[in-house]
Amino acid sequence: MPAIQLTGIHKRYFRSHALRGIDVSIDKGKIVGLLGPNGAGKSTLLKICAGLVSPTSGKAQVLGQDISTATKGMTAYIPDIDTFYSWMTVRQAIAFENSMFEDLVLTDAMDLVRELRLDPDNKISSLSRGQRGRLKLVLAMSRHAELVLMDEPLSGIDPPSRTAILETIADRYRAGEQTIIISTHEVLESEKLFEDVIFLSEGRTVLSGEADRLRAERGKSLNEIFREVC
Amino acid sequence: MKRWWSLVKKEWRSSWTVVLLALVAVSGFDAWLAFKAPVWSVGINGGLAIGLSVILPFVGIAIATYVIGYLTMRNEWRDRTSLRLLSYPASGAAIISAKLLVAVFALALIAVVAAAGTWLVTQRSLVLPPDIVQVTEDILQLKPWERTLDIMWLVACLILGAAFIIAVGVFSFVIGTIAPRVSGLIAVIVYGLVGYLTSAFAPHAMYVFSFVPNPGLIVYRTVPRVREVIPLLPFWPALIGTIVLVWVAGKILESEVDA
Amino acid sequence: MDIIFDEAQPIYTQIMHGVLWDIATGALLPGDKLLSVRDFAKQARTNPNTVQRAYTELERIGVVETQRGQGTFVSDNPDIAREVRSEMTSSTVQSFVEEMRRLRYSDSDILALVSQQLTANNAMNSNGANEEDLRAPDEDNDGGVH
Repeated sequence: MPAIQLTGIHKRYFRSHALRGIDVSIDKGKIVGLLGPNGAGKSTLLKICAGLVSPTSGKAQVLGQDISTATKGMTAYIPDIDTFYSWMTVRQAIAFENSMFEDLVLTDAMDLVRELRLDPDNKISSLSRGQRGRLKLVLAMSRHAELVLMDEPLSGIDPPSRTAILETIADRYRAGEQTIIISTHEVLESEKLFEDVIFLSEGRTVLSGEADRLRAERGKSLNEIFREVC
Repeated sequence: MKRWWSLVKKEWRSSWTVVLLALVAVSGFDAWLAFKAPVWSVGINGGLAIGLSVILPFVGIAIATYVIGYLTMRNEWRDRTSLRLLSYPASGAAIISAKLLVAVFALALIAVVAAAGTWLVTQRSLVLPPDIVQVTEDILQLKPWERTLDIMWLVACLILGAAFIIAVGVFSFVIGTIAPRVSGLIAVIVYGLVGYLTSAFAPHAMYVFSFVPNPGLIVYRTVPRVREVIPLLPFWPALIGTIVLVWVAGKILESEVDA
Repeated sequence: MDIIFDEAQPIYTQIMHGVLWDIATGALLPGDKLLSVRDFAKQARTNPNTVQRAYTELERIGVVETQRGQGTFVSDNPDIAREVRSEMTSSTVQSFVEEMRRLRYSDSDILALVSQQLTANNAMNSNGANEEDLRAPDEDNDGGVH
């Protein structure tokens, strides 16, 4: 059973056509890069998997089930924008998330808060962008979610925070059980993290496969392949 | 259920400061009126203090009722928290009903304080206007259990009415999210449309529900002195209307959102 | 271990190469424990599955051994470390010679250039580099060079 199975997915907004026929099957237990320039449809694809948008046509399944409230409980979704209740403190945000998801492990969350140097009693409204990016990661990685969807986790974040985020993903990834999909248009920094990659351009998949095989076949880095195909 | 309760608490914690502000404003206003009431009540406008203590706070509460459903949803979209909220494994109806509950509770709390204020102003007035004397006499005719029952049903109906209006606001907003660019316009149109349909078909709905048991209000007519039960016909339509609006809006939230 | 990755090459072969290199230089001795997959992945900000794949591959060729629940260790058979060292040495020399020939040097020129470079390096190192770095893992020199 694949972690994500998309068949003939189209998504139209009023005038724009965000996805034009996506057929993707993502195996369980991998970290997969969803690579494409801005506007390629990465966010829409992740939102469909997170159950926030329904496709105009096509069939989408997550963890062997149709997307529903139940699959939302097994999916950790990090949007590219800030979606925190800014009046909460870091601690309150974790507690709230904990009340929503059964798979959140509070001790893991507090460990991560410490590792990523966040103050649990700080109000979210007082956090910098880098700190918010790290908090997003705390909330996602302290859950033992089967599927983690990260939309541009590095974009607009200071370099030290980027490093910390990539380290945390590598460290906290529950190899074998967890599937992580990371969308990004900044391939250079994150490419060593991907086992498989899917290149997206103008709502279509233009190339996909095992990262190391693509490197061996083309003698190029993912970043160079990205610039070629997208 | 645990999730729903958590959503309710979150809603309350994000809005209690506003509620507190409203409570302070209402009680301050009523305290001032109560201070002035003894002097004003013997003047030309004997009922002025009482009138003001009824009209201003309750008109405020009414206006709040009309906009709070829309606003409570809009805030989530404005702050972009909608994306987070909707990624939780809670049904759309649970999300909306949590908001509805807190909104109704907040409005009821303010209404209770406003009513207590009015009562205080009445107590402080040396001379009462004839209308109020009449109403008080009528109420005194009722037996204690009849009075209790009346108050219970009246409160229930007011709360349901408020809940229905708030649900219309929520529903309008949710329909608006389908077309992000013109969401405000669509929400206003839907609000107007639902309002129109409600007033146009309320008599029909009440007629239909006159065939099922309804809660009743026990009153005594002055001339001739007979005990009468007025059925509260809006009860069922308001209840069903609220549930349907919450359910449909919830379904839309679950399937299609542009946050 | 510090691997400077070339993202244009498969990552798992580079990890394998890094471990083999450390064994060849003696940074990893027979019986030494490798970094855990997780620590390696965290340090290199790479995918734990890729690290695991490299370790599995190293185990398949008999260079390392995984002991359940304890981690991955360099094979404690000293012959294997010696073999790795000779393999790394010969492949390094071989690729050097190949490239020099592609640059159309004669064998005698190659030898001359090498000894020239060695002299230059030694002169530079004696001007202040610490001695420790110069000391090759000399204990099995005789076995390593054929």
